[in-house]
Amino acid sequence: MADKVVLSVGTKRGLFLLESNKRRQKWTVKGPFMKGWTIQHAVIDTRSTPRLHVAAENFSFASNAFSGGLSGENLKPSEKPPTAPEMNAKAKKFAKQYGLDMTKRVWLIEPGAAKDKKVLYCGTAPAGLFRSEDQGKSWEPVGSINAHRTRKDWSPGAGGQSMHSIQIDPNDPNKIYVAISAAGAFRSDDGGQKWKPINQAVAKYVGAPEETTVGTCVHKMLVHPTKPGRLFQQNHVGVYRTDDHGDTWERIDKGLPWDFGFGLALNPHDPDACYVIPLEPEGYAFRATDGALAVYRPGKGGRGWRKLAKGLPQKNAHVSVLRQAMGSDALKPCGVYFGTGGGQVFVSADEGESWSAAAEYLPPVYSVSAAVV
Amino acid sequence: MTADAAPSVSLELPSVLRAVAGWTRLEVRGRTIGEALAAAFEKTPILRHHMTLESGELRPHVLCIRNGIVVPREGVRAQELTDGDEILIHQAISGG
Repeated sequence: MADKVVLSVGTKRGLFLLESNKRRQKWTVKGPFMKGWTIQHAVIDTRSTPRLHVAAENFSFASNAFSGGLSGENLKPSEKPPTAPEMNAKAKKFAKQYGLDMTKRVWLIEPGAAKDKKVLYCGTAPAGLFRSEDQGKSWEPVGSINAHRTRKDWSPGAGGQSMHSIQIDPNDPNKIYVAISAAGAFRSDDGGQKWKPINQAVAKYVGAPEETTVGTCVHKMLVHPTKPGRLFQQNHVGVYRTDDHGDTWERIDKGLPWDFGFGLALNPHDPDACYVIPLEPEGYAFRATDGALAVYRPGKGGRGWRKLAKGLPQKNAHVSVLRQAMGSDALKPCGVYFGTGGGQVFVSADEGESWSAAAEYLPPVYSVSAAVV
Repeated sequence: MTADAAPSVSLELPSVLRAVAGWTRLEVRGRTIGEALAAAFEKTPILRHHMTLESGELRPHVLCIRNGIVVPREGVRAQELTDGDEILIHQAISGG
C-alpha cells in the first residue's frame, strides 16, 4: 500500500531523495547519490515496483540515463544511451552568435503509458525523442519527430535546443505530446508515427520565421491528468491553456507580475489549477519578482490569479526556479513542490495554500519530481 | 606477440566513473594505452561512450596519466606500455 511520498531532487551536484509520510509535514533528506554527476532530471516510475530514472551528466564524461531502485544506490547506466542528434548548421550558427549552450545531454525521462510498463521516453539536447522498451537499458531514436519537416526551423534557447516536455495522454495513450525550446509543441495521435505542430495562437519568440508553424519557445508543457484535452504551458512569452489537445491555445497570464517563467505543476483534482512561478527576466538570467518568492494559481473557475506565498520568503530571495524543478503529487489535497537555484526545496501539502522548506543548502536544484510509493 | 604476452598493467578510473563501470581498478593486458583501454571497454562496453568520442579519441577533458606523468593527448592511444605500468584516468579540470 502506497504510504510514502518521495521527491526525487536533481541538483547541479548529485541526486537527493526527500521522504515523508502522506501528511507531508516532516521530511528526511537522503543523498547525495551519483556524486560528481549533474542531475538534469530524476523521476520515479510507479507503474510497477518503483524505479528511479535519472538523466545525469558529467563535464568530462558525458551524459546518460541511469536507472535503479528507490534506494538511490547503484543506479546503472543505460547500455545503449540516448545520443542526441546534431543541430543543423543554421541552429549552430545561431547558438554561436548568441553564446548559447550546445552541450549534448539527456534532459528528462518520462514513463510511458500505464499499460506499457517497460516503456520509457527521454528527451535530449539538441532536441531528440528516444524510446526504451526495456526500462532504460537501451534507447532508440524516434525518427518521426527527430527528423520532422520543421526541424530546419528549430532554434536553440539559452539552455540549449532541448526537448524538455514529454507527455503521454492518460485518457488516450496514442496521443503523445512533446515540447522543444525553442521550436514549440507537437502532438502525435498515433503513438508517435506522425507529429503535428500545435502552436496556433502562441506568441513567437523574437526573430522566429513568420511563415513557420513552429518558432515558439515553450518552457514547460503538461497534460492535465483527469480533464481530457486540457493542457497548460508556461512559455517564454506567457502562460497558455488548451481544451482541445493543443489545436487552439488561450493565453491566460493576464494578472501575473511577469509572463516569463519556467516551472509548471498541475492539480489532478482541480482541472483549473495550474501552478506557475513568474520570474523577472534579466537577459539570460532570471529571479523571483522583487526578491519575493511566490507561486500563482488561477482563481475560482480559472479566472484571474491568486498569489500563494504563505511561508515563502518575501524579501531578499533572488532565486530562480527552473523548468524541471516543479512538481505535484496525486494525493488529496494535492502536494505541490519546487526547488530553487539557491538549493531550497519548498513543499506545500495543501494545494499551495501554505509552504515550508523541506530542504535547504542543497546544490542548485535542477529538477523536482514527486511520487507516492 | 600474443595478447597474453602483452604487458600486464593496472587501469584506475576516477571515482565518478564508478557509477558507470561499477569498478575503479582493473588489471588488463595491452601493448599500448589504446589496447589497455580496449580491454577495459570489452569488460564494460558503456565506458567507451563515457570516455571517448565517436572517432575513438578520448573526450576533450579526459586525461591519461601513466606512472604519474601526464600523457600528451596527441598519440596517447599509441603510447607503448611495459609490465606493471599504472594508468590513471582523470578529469582534466582547469580553473582556480
